Amino acid sequence: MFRSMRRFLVRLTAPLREWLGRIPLLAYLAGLVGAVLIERQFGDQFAAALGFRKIPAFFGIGDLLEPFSEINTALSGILGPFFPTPSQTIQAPLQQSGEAVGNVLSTFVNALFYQGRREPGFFDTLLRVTIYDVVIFVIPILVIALLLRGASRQTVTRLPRWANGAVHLVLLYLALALWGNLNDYRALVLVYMGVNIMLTISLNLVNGYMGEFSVGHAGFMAVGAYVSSVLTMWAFTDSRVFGPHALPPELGLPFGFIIALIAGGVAAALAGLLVAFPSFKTRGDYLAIVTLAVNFIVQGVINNMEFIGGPRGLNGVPLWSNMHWVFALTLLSVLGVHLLVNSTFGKGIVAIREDEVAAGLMGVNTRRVKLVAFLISSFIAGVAGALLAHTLAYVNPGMFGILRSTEVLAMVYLGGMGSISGSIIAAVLFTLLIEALRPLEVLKWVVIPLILIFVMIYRPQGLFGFREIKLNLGTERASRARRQSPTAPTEVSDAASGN
Amino acid sequence: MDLSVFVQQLLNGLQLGSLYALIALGYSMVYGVLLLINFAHGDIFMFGAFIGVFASFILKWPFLPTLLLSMILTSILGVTIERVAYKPLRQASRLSVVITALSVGLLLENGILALAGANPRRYPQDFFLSQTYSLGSIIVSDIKILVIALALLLFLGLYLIVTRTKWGMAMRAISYDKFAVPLMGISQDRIISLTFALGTALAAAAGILWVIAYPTLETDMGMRVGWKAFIAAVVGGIGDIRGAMVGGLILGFVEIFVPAVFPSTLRDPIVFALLLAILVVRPTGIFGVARRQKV
Repeated sequence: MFRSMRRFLVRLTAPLREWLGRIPLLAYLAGLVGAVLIERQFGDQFAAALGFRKIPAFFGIGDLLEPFSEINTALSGILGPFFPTPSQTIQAPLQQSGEAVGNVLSTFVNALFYQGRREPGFFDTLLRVTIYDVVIFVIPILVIALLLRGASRQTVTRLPRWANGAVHLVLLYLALALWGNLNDYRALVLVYMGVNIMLTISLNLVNGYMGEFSVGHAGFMAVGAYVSSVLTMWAFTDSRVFGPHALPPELGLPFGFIIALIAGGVAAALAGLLVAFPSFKTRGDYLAIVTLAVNFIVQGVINNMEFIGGPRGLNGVPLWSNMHWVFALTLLSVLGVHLLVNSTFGKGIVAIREDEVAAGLMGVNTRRVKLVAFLISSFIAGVAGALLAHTLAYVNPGMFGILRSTEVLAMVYLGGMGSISGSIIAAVLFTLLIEALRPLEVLKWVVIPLILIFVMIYRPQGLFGFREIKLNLGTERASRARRQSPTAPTEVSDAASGN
Repeated sequence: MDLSVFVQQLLNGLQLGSLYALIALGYSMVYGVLLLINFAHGDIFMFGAFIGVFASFILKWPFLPTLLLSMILTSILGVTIERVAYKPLRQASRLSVVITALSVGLLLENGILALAGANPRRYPQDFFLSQTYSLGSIIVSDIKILVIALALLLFLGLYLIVTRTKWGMAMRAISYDKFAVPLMGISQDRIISLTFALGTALAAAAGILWVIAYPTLETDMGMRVGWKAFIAAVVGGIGDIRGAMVGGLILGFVEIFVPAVFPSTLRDPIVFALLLAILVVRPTGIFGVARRQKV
């Protein structure tokens, strides 16, 4: 049923997608910058006119589920009567539970249409969010992209390859920076996105490209976060923990921070050795346990180090990181991993995934390749942790538990193993999903696993397993582009999925 | 440490270890048959303990019927999970099944948290009236005796099922060669369901005993205890039920004896470091046999 529905939709939208797909990416990026500029100019007034208190932070997805936030308290009454706490006396559990179900339903309906609520309901918000997004983003992006498509196609074909890349990146950076600058929450979520992208691609290097099964990625993140935080606090700030600053604080930004980031990464890579060495002998599930154990050990050791706060965490980390730093480092790590997996060395990594023994026979130094892959993976995770610590100005061991590792795993498999673009998209979507579901509190962790289960059952290879997204960069010759199946900017050629 | 304290701690370790072993058995059996780490197993254990709250408070049942009810309901849950979530993925890559298993675990934990509330629970005071006996300076509560004896009994029962019955033979056959088994006219699905039913029933028993022995029940129990039991299963050699038993006991003893020597906050890091060391020396666990890789 899903398939036929999907096929129908695909056929229905095909002409539109073909038409949109002919516009090169550069034009869309220019459109995005334009839309962001429009939002900066008119966003506040338009949002106010639509009845928003402030501009919708993430295309309004955070506001959408806000009406349902009251449902949590009602929900716990459904099974609560059957599982009483010792202090409760339950008379008629079935009846109470039935009442709770009714309660939940009425809360739900009330949340849909704002009956008896002070805040607007779901449908109301949906309508206003859609209007806002269409007027501020969709229409300007499309109009500007259409106007500029000829110009951008010419620009792209004239410039050399590296300049092309640079132009795309500068436009993307401009759009993100202007957009994130408007709202602190946006900037913070952009940082989360960057950090998640770094974590996802670094874990994908080990799990997707090398085919190992590492489940304790948050442990490396913790090492990076703590080492860099301790370093910057000791060297550049006056803190209760480490006393007055050891070096002049003026040196802190950018040099001290860069050194601290590198130090955090190196420390995490050293922790990665704990996993890399056993990986020479153990594979598969046993190696998974090793990584799991390393995660628990790191967390446990930090919990026991009283001088860095133990379980209470470390307060007063300098607030140095922001979305600009995160953008730069995310870009560096994506580029790094991309270059690595496409190099000869990277072919060795993939060969290990396909068959370790055969790879060894073909002359791949499997130990060295594994060592390097683990080191790079944990290095990037450590830098990501350091960035997070310097964005939040606070770290505690609870942030780097097994749940965090599970989140990263989920992003890797959602996006698809062995796919960098899949990892990026999955990290972005997952971060957005978490922000969108934030009003639901506990229910968030009911919805996310459900989504994951459905993705795994209906698309076991993940969204983009083992392939990359093809973007229309406008550099291909027109004839070649026509021969290929039409692809919209974010659409993937369906050849590999088989349907 | 003088002798009586040592024996006392030995008994404590035996109790904790038996509980870990009961949970580890479930991990190990499922792995043996499906080569799947059933990460939801810890939360199934928690579910079993929750059924105990229902039976003891609402139905006001005594210990044994509660135990049976919990084992039955939990194995129904286990088989359902297998049928709904894992079976569609038989042909998929093993890692996507693992993600599904992790998701099912999170779903169970947070589903119960959302639907039943976060307050810690325990069983009624008169659910299991404990008496203590003292042998010299060693104090033994009948809870300890019950836990250890029941764990041993269940393990023996399982061992007999696996080694002496046709069903058990089929289970061993699947873990030996899963392609040949259907050719012999044995339904693979049925054996897998049986494995899940047995494993989750043991987890349910462990859940009830756990809450009797350490009387609080919270929804994150599956996460805290389940991961450790999983590690016990791996140390013993995952896929081997003797290994699960031995691994569980080792973990129990280590967890009890480490705080006797080191500060108790260092317990978890030391336990995990020790397990790491065991895995470095014996990469496939104590009873595990390395599967030879062919090219």
